[in-house]
Amino acid sequence: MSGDAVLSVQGLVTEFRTPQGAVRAVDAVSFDVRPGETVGVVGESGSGKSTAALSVLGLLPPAGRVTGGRALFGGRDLLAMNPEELRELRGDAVSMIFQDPLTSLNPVLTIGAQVAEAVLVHRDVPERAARDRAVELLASVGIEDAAQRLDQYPHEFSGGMRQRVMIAMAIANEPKLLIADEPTTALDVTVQAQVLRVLAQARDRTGASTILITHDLGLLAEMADRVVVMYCGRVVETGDVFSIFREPRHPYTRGLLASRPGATAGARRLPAVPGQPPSLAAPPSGCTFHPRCALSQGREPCRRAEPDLLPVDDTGRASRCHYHRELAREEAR
Amino acid sequence: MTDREVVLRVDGLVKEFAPGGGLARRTAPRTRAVDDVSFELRRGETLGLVGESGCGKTTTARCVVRLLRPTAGRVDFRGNDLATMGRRRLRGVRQEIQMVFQDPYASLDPRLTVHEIIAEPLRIFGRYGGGAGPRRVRELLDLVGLEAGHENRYPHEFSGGQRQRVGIARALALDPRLVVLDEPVSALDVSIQAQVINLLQDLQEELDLTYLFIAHDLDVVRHISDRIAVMRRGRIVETGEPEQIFDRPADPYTRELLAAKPITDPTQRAGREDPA
Repeated sequence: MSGDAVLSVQGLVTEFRTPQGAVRAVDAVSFDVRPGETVGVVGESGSGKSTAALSVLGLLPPAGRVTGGRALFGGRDLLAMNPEELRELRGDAVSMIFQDPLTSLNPVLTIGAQVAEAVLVHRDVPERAARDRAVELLASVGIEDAAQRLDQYPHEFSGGMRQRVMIAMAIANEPKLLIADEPTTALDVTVQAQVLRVLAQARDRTGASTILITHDLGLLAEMADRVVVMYCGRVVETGDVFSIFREPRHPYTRGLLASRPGATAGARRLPAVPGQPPSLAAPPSGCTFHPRCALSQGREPCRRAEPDLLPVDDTGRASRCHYHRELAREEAR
Repeated sequence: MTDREVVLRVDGLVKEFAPGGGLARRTAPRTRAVDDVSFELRRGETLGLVGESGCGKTTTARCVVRLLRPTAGRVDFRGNDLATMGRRRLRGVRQEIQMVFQDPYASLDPRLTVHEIIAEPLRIFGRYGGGAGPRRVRELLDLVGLEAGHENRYPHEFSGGQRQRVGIARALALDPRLVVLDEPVSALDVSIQAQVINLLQDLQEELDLTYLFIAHDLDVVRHISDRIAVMRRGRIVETGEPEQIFDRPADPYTRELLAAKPITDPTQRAGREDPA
């Protein structure tokens, strides 16, 4: 299964120290990213989707700690690497794009200096060549008059343009793996569409495998090949994007898809998922989704036993629900 | 809907801002954030105001509730022009116009209990005393789907969706006629958004509320609005019923917005087909 994967995350566990004791933010998360594919990791706040990515990159905040699992990248375990080895990798073979480009760019350095730096850190080239490469990269993400704009500062760029700069820096060294965490969330609708297009082009041009972390199902519909749905620190469903949207096999995925206003044209009431997201400090017993799940009503197994993430068919789809078969039957009608 | 009374009539609204500090202040032109905006709202109706950041939708909202004083134009609320109204008379009208803000994390005072947050407008207008206040607070909690036991807790003990329910309860405390909602669900998680949208629609029906609903999410606005106004660069470029705006947009900018709207299903991908 993981033989040909660019990245294979296996049984990742990440915990945070809190005043209430250790909290498990990521619990036994496993997924593969194959060459050239885009894996969308979707979940709500607190689902662990960003923490999983930060764990893999060695970028957890001080209170966080990886306590289990492996993340194999080119035969090496990222979770076992020392900080120096990880630094060499980040921005080179693995690169990242975060939500807010204003906090990721240094306000006192010019755009040119920062993009060139992304090259110089990992490549032994003359500064002149790095600067030329910076112009080329900025032009490739659709920044007009790139050579002139090299000497401008981040605040002279709009939000969408700054995010293009981040994409340019992320692909500077032709990464094998690109991790984008809510790359368009802070942007306006029309700008979001443009940046998404630039990101897709950058991905296609470099052939990078991509992990797209988002709360936005529309983004997955647009860009993902496969989807990993997270809830309360766990993967609750995985599968190819078409199957997930057509026939979700976990009640949470199903609820998320149905509750979007765009999905229910004409209906007066939205089919909302009831209840509140669970607290990681005190997760519900059994299946962590059972308090909000219509399928679990009056069913003892849901309250008692946490279901395993098990295949639902032979296409690589898996669901963490005792009763996923009932969802299939409902859909088939 | 057209036979119902007009609650709010905004006519030729203009709001200009002075340029930032420094030497430029004297010579630079004033920024016109809202430029000749007009619309009407009838009782029980929801008008959705959509547009991208900087288009003037929030400034328009703030002029309507008179958090900002308009530069020109009329804001006619049931026969009174709020745009020019003096402080004392404004105070009276304020009970009838309330606002719900985007960020339930930032708009609730973290030092107050939920009870105090909801009771505050009642106290300010002298409607808390004589046992009526606590009763009203409990009634409001029930109305927005929170438990009575929640009233002695603090905002940080709640999730985003519950906090927004507290914000809504506070806005309803004084029995307003018009509620201005500025991006009320955009900070919420997907599964919670739907709950709050349903709640807002239930409350509108139950209390005969009129909504000015400001948002950037086209699908949300389509779902909740009776009519939609599209704003760009301080102006309304198009107003119409949701079907008209979405299916037969007249303005090029509306078409551009709709084209940029994220797809809802992978089968809508251009040039790609569902392999199954």
